Amino acid sequence: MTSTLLKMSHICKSYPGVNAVDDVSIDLYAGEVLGLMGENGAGKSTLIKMLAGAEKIDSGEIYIDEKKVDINSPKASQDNGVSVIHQELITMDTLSVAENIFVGQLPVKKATKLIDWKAARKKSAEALALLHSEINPKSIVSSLSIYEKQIVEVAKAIHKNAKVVVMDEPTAALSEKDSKALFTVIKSLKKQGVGIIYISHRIEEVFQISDRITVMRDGKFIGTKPTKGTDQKEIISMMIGRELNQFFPEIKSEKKGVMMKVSDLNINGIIENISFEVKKGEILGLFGLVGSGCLNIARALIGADDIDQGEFHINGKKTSIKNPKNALKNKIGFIPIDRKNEGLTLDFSVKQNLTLQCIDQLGSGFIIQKSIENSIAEKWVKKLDIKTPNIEVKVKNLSGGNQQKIVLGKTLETNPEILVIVEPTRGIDVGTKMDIYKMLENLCKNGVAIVLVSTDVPEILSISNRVLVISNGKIRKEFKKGEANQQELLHEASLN
Amino acid sequence: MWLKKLIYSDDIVGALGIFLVLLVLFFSIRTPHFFSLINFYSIIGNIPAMAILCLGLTFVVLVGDLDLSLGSILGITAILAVFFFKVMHFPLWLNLISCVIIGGFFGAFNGAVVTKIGINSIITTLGTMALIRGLTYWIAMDVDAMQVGRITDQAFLNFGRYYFPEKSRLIPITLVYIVILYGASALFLNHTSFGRQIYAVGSNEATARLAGINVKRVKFVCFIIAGMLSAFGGLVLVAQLGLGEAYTGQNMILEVITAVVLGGVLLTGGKGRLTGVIIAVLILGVIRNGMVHLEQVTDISVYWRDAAKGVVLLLAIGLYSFRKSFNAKRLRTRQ
Amino acid sequence: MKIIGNKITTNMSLFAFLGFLIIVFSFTSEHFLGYYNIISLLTNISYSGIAAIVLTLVMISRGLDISIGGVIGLTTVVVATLYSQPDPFPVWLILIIGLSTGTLVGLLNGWCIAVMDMDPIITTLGAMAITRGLAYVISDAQSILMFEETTDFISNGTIFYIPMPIILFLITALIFSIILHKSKFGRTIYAIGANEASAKLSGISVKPVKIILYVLSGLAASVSGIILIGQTSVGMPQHGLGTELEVITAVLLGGTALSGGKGTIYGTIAGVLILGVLFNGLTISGVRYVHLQIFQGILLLVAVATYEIKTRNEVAS
Repeated sequence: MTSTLLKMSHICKSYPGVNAVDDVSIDLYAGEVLGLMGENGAGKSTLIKMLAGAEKIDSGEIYIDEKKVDINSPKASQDNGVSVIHQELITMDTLSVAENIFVGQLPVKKATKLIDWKAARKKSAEALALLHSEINPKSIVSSLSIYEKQIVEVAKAIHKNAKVVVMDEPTAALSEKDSKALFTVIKSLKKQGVGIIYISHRIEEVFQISDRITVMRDGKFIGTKPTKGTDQKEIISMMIGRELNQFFPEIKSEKKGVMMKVSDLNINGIIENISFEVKKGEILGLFGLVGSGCLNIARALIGADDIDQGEFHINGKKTSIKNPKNALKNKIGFIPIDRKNEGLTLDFSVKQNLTLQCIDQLGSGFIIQKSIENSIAEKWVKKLDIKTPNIEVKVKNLSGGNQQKIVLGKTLETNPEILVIVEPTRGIDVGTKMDIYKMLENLCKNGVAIVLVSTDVPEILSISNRVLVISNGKIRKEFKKGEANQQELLHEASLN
Repeated sequence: MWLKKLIYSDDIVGALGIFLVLLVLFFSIRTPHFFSLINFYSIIGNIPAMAILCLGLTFVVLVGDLDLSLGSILGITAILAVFFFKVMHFPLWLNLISCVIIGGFFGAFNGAVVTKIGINSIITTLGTMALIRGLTYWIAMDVDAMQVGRITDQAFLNFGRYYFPEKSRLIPITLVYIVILYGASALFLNHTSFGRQIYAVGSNEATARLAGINVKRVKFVCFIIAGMLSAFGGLVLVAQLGLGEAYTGQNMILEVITAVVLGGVLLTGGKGRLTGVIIAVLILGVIRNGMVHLEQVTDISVYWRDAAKGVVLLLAIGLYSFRKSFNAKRLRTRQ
Repeated sequence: MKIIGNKITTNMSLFAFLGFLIIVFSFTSEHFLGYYNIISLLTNISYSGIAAIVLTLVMISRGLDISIGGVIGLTTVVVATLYSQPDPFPVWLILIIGLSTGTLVGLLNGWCIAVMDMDPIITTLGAMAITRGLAYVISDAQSILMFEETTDFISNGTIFYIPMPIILFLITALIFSIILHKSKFGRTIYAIGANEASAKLSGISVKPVKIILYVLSGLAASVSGIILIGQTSVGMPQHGLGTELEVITAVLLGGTALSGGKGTIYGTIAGVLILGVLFNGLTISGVRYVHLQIFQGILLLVAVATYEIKTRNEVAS
């Protein structure tokens, strides 16, 4: 029997009110690629954070090379041979490649104690060569492409003699060519006996590169299957575990007519030739994996990012959406992906957040009329059933679900005719999810055109009237309601 | 096109060098006496204290912080040097060492407040700037013997005024100080482990910490170095002037920051070359000197130099911001 | 006020500290509580207090203005120079030009910071150098005497026995208190300082707001400058040296954080009063003027350290 390289045994971690990781056990062998899959909120990130020493384990053990290890800090994790390559790269951009690889451990000449740059460059080149890379160790990292930066991170891991390398959505920002190159690199690592945990939503890729696949759902370990012995359908059902249409309201619209038309939206190098229409009372889903360009499209729709080309027609009239204020004037509302940093002002109270987008309406003159402010706030607390002691508490003290409701209330106060929502129910409890879906249903009845960006497959398939699959910055395919199943959706989204 | 390359290229030192040459040419052409050996010695004579302070500030900025108290540390050192000389009758070597140690102590105080208590370095050094200046005035005014702060010891004066070799008076000792200090610092920053840790912390503090670098210690040391260098600068200045007053160095910090920013040291940390800093110091020195000459031949008041320095600072930081936004656009990612 | 949660407690402790200082100084000097001293104290406070009030708004929006002192100096020089011309403009015009000085500097600052995205500290530092330098150029480093009725009244006159500067300070405090705490504009200032990204996405026009704040700051500095001319009867380029430090210290003392989103006018008033009482009390008790800086520095460090530790405790709980 082969010994395990890494064993995480009965790991538990909970935060107030939620079991993030619930008795999860996984194992990893040397020289294998283990795909770790699960929806957002399944607990993958939390599990990896504990492995990386960034979060404390509530209970459970970690074994490396069959020996129990105590990982209580990032340094301890690294000292035990674990290296995590995050989605958001943490390179030192102002320094050279060699310095990034050797950070904190630059080789010194014995005699003078001065840095042996020659040795550093040579060893860097060796590590890079193992990765089939010709990056010059002298180059400053800020001048490298995203792929090259990732290679630098991998080289750093190799140099530290990492036994376990975790890659979190590594191909999210890569082109097809670079992704293929990365796979070659991963195969090299395998040959050297490194064990790799590969986290990705791109089911196609996971099936290409992994030897086994572990699935998590709702914080629990669902199962591990050898890649060759399973198929996408099985993995997806393990991931999602519920039937479509079980929880979702039937969204029907009565109004007709095109609310907004997007033509030839282009951001150089990011999105290309995006054209679509949204009708009144319709929910148009935009589905794409991390790095597909969906978020860029959403941000362009509300004027948060500059576009290089493209036209918008709202209600038949050509409109330019230059900035969020402009968008609001054109009755476009936005629920951003990051409610804590973009949707809310955490230090503001419930009432101040709810009125953040309609400050101008809080009275006819110069002064904010408290009575109007209070009534608007209370209206939405009631309408959306926001659970809060009162409207004066700071929103940072509320739960995620209630925070999301506040973002919703804030946006709805401006009576948008078009609503762009991104990941509306991420990290939110089931009860609140229902409330949000009911709200969307009401909006549709009243003729609001909704653009829904979501990576929650059942959600987007059930609620949307149509789904556009976005990949590599382009629209790949359009599905009408009922035309696609989960597997087809994920399949299309992973293609280049 | 070359202009574009100049603006967008990462290496600002070349551009600075060209700018310096252009400045020298401008003043040499426009005024009769600028381009002379005597004048060049004059320029070099005016920059040592400034150059040494800039070196100190560079250490702090490289690690991602700011230190506004350097001028005050220079000031208190000036007063203490006189005090040690006149009242305590220290021999020169003791005087020098004590002052530098005291400078290091003030730097350590700054470092401790920033790293241990966690107060923003701008506010901290704003406070110590006032505090130390106040102490300076106190010592200067309340100790009777300090009333006339003159240094008369020849050895001390030589510390700042000596020339090599004695007969032909070619190389001022202050130039030697600058070369040694900058050279040693360059060696330290570029070729030692700790020096590279400074750059690492400035570049990405979180990553540096993850890599096991003791961020607090690195920052603490940089503040101490800045304090010690400021003290040394104060000693040089006192030796040059022959006296130390309570207001010595009071308005220097603005010019020091200007030179460091102009010299290409990134305010956010992790990037900067000493060559750029010294050229920037020379540029400011040339402007100051050149304006005096210019006043003699034109009606342009010499006081334009302060305004000119402000403009230079704004242009430097403006250019930096412009390049930053240009790069940000280039580095957009697909999400 | 609610934004800052228990800032009310902080303000209370500030005023308690103020009370403490007053009590101490009433013992150390018999003149401290005297009518003339109080008037003198309040008048001095008003001079820098006006700039402090407006700086509070700037700092709440996560900005900083170090050019205040330079603007003061430049304003005094401009006004005095214009007045000393052979056939001078009418006084009201001169004063308007004086106020425009600060306004223009503020516009420059605002544009660089908001539109060009330049660092506020360095920008206003540069503006300080430019204004100070221009003041020296225009005045040729000379002091320019100015004896004139209107400025004399602004600085030394009284309405109902209250000196004009104090009245101006109170008016400024009142106006900006309403603006900051009760108006729509004030809400956007807090929003921008607390979370600029969120504010932008909520449709708040960040750039114009920031520019307006810096313009107001420059204008306030000019007002302070005009008061100074009347008080000293002279316009000189050295006016205002060190004022920026005083003003920033007062605002920080009052609980405004450098990181933005927090702060109140009441806190700033408390900070201005504390600094003023401290300086006045020490001076009248025999401490020399130049030593005041020591206390200023200590006070700043202690106050900010206290706020820092307090915030950290809040986050931990």
